[in-house]
Amino acid sequence: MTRATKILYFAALLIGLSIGGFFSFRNTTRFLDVSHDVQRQTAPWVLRDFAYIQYRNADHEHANAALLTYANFLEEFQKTYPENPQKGDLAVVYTRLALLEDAANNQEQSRTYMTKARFWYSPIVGGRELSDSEMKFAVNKMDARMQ
Amino acid sequence: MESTLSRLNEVQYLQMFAATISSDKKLGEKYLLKNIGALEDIERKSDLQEIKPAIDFNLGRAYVYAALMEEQAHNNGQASRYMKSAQNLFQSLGWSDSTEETLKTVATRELDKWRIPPQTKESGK
Repeated sequence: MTRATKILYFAALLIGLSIGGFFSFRNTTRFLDVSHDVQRQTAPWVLRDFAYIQYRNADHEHANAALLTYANFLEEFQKTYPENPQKGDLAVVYTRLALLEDAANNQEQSRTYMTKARFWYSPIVGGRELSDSEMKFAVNKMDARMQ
Repeated sequence: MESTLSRLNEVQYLQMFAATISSDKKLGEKYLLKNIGALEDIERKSDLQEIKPAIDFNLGRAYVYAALMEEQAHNNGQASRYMKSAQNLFQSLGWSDSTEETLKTVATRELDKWRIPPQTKESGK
């Protein structure tokens, strides 16, 4: 093998490795980005499921605490990652909090939560205002289906 | 926010893993206790008080999976110890009904989501 051939092979090897390394790095970074995005989307499900199960099974104090924790988390999440809207979930959580207060006969607190629920829900339905009872009916119906 | 998300990710991963391995007897026996240990570690270390009840809930559910597994293996003493641990946790979470039956129903509902249906001849074609 001549000196020129050796140099040519070596150069080809270097170029091949560099290109391969570049594409491999790019693909891995892309995969890690996607994986991070998916984890960010799905991590809140732990609190969502917990809040719902507590709402169905726990006493007023504990169910209220779980729903409020989830609502506060979602509001914070919405602020930090505005590209991942949580408005629908927030509307549902506040409606459940209102339903919980209805069951405990705390009408004023229930109305406060419904104001928040409507605030988060309105943009989704394109401006059409839903009444408190319509929203409560929808959430109750959804919960009955999940049973 | 990032630390909460990271902790929730760990819990979610362990929860899914627990539910998946519990539907398989051999895998359950091998890994479920390790899984419970990992959840107990997170629960002990957790600096995030606001998500501690959610961790307790997942730990409680894992105890019920372990109780079901021990029951199937006819280790009734161990099964009732796991069930008792689960009941203590669910009571601390404000459950008025934390009877064995209710907890088993909640756990089985979750397990069913992860159970792979047996393949029939028709579906295999």
